[in-house]
Amino acid sequence: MNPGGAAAVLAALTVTWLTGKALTRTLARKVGFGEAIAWAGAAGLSFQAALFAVLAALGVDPGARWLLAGDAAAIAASFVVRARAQTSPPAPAPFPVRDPLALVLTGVAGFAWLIFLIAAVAEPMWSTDFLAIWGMKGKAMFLAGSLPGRLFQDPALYWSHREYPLLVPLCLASIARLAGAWNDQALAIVFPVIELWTLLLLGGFVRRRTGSSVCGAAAAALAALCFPLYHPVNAGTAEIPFAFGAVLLSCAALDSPGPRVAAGRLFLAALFCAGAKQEGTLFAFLLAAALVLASIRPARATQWKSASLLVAVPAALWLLLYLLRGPQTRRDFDFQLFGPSHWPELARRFESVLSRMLFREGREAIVSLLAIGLFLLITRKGFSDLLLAVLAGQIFFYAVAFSLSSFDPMYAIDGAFRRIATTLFPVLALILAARLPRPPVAQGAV
Amino acid sequence: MARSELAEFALDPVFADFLDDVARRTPPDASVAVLVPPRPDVYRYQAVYFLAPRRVLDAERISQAQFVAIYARAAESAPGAETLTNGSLSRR
Repeated sequence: MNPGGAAAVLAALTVTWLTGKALTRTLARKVGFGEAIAWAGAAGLSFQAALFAVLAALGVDPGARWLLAGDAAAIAASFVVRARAQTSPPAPAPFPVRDPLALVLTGVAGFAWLIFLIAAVAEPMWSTDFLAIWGMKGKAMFLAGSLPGRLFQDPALYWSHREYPLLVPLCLASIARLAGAWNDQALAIVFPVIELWTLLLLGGFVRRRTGSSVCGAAAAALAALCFPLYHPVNAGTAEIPFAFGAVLLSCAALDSPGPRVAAGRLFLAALFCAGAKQEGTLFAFLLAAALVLASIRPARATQWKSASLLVAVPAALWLLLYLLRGPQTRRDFDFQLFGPSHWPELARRFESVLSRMLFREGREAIVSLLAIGLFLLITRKGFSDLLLAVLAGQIFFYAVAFSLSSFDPMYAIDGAFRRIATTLFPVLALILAARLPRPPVAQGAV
Repeated sequence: MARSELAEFALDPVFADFLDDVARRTPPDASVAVLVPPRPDVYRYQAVYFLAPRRVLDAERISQAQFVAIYARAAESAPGAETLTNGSLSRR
């Protein structure tokens, strides 16, 4: 790899993160060191993408100077807000991980992350989805210094999923603009960095909520070992950002109801998750439903507020994208199958899809699935079990989506199910780690 | 390392050289019909990605193109077409 290109992307990511750090000065109060780093990353990427889009909408070419000026303005504004609020957030705790098991698990997570880092940056990003969707759009935005209308209107690009959200292409374009070049090998660094933020968030959150550094490190290690997700084929696509978004949203939802800063984190997480992939909107809606159902007994108004936020933010984002690009057809789905005359066919398709998912995809992962099932049976309930219902709902709606496929549903399952299912694994890691028995020495220690 | 040696062109390393030739011979604001094998789809995606910001068109939209680049089908080259690596390029 060209060291200059890598250094430029790292510098751009550092600026992005520092901007996010300033923006989350208040938002990330009362969370741990690793969590604060992750929230700053999410805020920085979201802000950079939004800044690129706003400058482009204003007719300004979003070059590095404009982006840096916007970042500097955001950092300055954060100081003003902080001074007005007269709050002094507590200094984030460093890493006081002394438990030998926690150290080993942290080492496993670090080693697994290093493997992905090396594999991801070894070559320019190459996966089909990068070339056809995420990278193609990002490169077009980078080169044009705008959001070219062609991306949403040109019939020649009918296959590029014009209906997909734009956070990932906008992030790639803005980071490349900050770095001064579209270097599709150096830009791959973005994806291991997002993985690192995911692991820090998982580890920090589980540790804070369980009081056990072993549980936190186990969550991070388990997620890092999901090599089908953290694989070079996913460098340059929205899978890794969505996995990060799902963890952000899960952590924010589990911290709600809480102070206003918790609602702020929920807002940012919903924006990031829905902005990364369409599945992110589904995840937010399912999480909203789970929060509502969980708060029926006893009724708690704040959960309704959180649930409303989880619906409102993706809906507002969808409206914004609709205004930007106009109506977009979803050529992947045949919604006529919802018509009453097609119900028998839809039922047959759904049965075939479930059968394929259970007896082909499920069979290949049977050992892992049985181990997870057994673990859930023998361990006590955890504080994050609510998310199990969300994950089950997500898989159910994937089955519905495959049943509605305009093409052969079996082809769609074979091509996409494993890839999209693995993006949920970091959330599952959170659930499993929260159920681990806590070592007595770690009880009560945060 | 040459682009043709990378994983992204493992399927057909020569295609990378063909795209380099097309990029060298067409202006960035051109519209180029790139005629590639219909399967696998990745030929089309690679052409659109690597030739950006050019507008890359398929065979059905050839009438909208300023240039026509044909890959691996020498017999279909227009008279006077420029020879590229395993292909040809002609101006319409």
